[in-house]
Amino acid sequence: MKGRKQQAQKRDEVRRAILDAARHLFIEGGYANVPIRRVASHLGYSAAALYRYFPTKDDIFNDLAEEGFRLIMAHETLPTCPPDAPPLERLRHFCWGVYDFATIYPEYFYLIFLDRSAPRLKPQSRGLRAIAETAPNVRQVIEDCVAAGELRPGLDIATVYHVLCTAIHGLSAQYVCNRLPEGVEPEAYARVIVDLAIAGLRAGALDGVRMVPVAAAAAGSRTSRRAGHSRRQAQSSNPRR
Amino acid sequence: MKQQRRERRQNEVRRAILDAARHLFIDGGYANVPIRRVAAQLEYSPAALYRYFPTKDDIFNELAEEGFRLLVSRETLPTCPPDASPVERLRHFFWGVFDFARLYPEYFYLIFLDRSAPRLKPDSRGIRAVKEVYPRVRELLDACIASSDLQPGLDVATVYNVMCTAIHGVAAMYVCNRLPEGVDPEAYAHTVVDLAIAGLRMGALDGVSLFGTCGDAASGASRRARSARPRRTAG
Repeated sequence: MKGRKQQAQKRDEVRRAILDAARHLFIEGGYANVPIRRVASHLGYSAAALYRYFPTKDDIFNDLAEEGFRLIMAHETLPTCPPDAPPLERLRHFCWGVYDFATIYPEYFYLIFLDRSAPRLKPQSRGLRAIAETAPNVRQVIEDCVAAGELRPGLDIATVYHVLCTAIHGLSAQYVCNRLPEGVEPEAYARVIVDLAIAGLRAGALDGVRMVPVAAAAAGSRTSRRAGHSRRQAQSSNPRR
Repeated sequence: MKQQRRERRQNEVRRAILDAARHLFIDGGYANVPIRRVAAQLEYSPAALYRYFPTKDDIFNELAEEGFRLLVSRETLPTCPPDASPVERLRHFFWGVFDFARLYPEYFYLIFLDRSAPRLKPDSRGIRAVKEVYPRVRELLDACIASSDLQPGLDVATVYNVMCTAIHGVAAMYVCNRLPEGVDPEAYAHTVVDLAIAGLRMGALDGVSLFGTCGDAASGASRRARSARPRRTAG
């Protein structure tokens, strides 16, 4: 009994060591340039021993990606936001979480989002399914903003989620890559970017816009029901006002 | 005549070095590619290469300048109809950020996303090339202010940098093949640009000055930025 427990614990430790070593090596050398052998030799294992834990390099990446996405979620789910904060403030905290993740876990951010040689995650991968779990949370914040009269009704949650994340993504990438404009204070700059994105949302830039097709947005996104005309509508509602 | 030929030959060699270096840096990561490998790829001796570029950073600086000039060329693209509204012209300008990434993903990656590449100095030719575009941004903002699409008092350096950062994300996702599953890249990028322009028109950058007056390094600007956080209602 005790032996089996110890064995399981040992296995978990080895898994952890493999993931940590792989993360560092992938980031230094670029995912495509690091053969799984090098991860093994870095740890003093044989390649065969490592394959017992992770049959392919992509399996390692998928595990790291899932870990990363769970860390993003932990930041998006407003741990720092006072529970009685007004809805708009909660939306701001959500956006802030996207940036906050990058500042705390730059390695995960780089590996998941900026390594061009890493594989694209499949829609049904655990990482992307993990991130879809935040949808109800985002929906709640948006609905509260609508109820408070801060946003107009009818916003597509998946579109709002992705576009807001994308608008903050550039800031995160600049932070992680040390490319923020010379002389700005990162936090103050980040706040301005978050404010710009939220102001654009409040100005109605995403009213009636539907960017993400039903299938991809499916998890947790109830509005996907009223879909079908996603792309064209998004295009035609490109404001050319 | 002979000298002309020699100059042409020298320019060809320079070009070959820059192109080879760009490819190698992108494949291997800037820090992982020694200058020897660039030389070997071209079958030059390292000494021959050093005559053109004394250090690896000199190659990077040259590539960065080229990249920034390409970025500016997309921002100032003359495809916008001359009778377009001021806001439309502003939109065309910032579309250039995504357009640059779409057309020159290698330059985009090397300049902005390779963590191991050196940070460009403020007085580098690349950064100076970008700043040359500020008067054009000023002109566009003034036209938008004259047509009452924007409030007066916007700071050029702040608007330029913040708008570029807001669009940087969609460009980076495009270059790294990380756009959300199933979206049309151009339509998605248009939406992001529209969001940023709408935020600007909503007044998110009114009174915000993140840089010094000359558009260079900031001083107490960040404090001002904080107090300028918009708390306005929609409408």
